[in-house]
Amino acid sequence: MSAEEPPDLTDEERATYEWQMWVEDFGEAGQRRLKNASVLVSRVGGVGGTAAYYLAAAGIGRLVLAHGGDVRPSDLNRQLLMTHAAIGTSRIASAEKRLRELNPRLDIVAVNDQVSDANASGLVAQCDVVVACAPRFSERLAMNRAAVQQGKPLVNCAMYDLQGELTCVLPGRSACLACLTPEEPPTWKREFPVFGAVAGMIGAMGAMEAIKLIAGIGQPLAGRLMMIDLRTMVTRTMTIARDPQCPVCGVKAER
Amino acid sequence: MRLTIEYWNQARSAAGCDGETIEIEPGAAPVDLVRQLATQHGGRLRSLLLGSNDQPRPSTMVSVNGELAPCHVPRALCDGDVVALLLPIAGG
Ligand SMILES: [Zn+2]
Repeated sequence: MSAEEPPDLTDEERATYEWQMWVEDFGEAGQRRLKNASVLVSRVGGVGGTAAYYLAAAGIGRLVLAHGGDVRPSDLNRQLLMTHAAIGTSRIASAEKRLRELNPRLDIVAVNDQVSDANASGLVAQCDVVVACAPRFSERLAMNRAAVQQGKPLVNCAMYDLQGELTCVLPGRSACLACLTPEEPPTWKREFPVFGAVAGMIGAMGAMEAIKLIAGIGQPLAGRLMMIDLRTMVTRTMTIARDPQCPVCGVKAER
Repeated sequence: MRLTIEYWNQARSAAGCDGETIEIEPGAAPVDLVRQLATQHGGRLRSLLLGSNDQPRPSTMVSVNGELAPCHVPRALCDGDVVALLLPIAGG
């Protein structure tokens, strides 16, 4: 979402995105905004891979993707950008290949590493919106800190078992991730029960939040957190207030 | 007073139910509720909710009638409140 006028669409792009441009408040103007936008997604496993896939399908201009490690058999129940043939090879390379098959116009910055305090601000600087999908709080909190410092919106998509959680951070305007969870919670375990369909559902919702933020349509989940349970099909949306003492976005936060 | 409790995330399987109705002393705060639920259930829910010092973990979140905050944020619970317990999740 750089300041200059969004670029025109090519005939190929008009043909590809015709059906979504029928969404009335989105239209061709929204499509041009997507083409002009860059989104950081990390990681690109079960949740982030789906988010990245839908962003690629929607015609986002650029994806900045960070995910380290090689494909393992246990990735394949949910990480739909990874393939059986890619077992033992780089996850990010497999993800990049699948995304290019879907959208050859897509500009991809592929980083073969997880997000950390060391690289977060450089990665966030390359994007307009962050979609946080990492399985460790340290990675999500590093993206949150950089997003708040740089004033970039962040969509947080998480899941556990048959449950999904979604929220959106508008820096300076709504609660950030650290307002609720300022440090690594001791109860979270890196390995968690997951069906691919649950991860994919919350990743698809996160992609839609990013599209809404870029195109300026709808009401993002800022200051709200949505829980959805696919075991009971119950959803709850709760409000979250900013914490004035928050170490990241509060009055005392170091800038 | 009587509260309706909903369990989310890891707290749900640890509690062994989606939710329940409980009695608690009038004037109780969310952190008192967390302590009471941990003690009543024991076992896995207790170890999720209480740290090694037997105090409620600050990472536990409580929603009171749809307003979510860390459990240590002081708020007065009222008879009839619907209270959801959430633990931080990061499955990706
Ligand atoms: Zn904050």
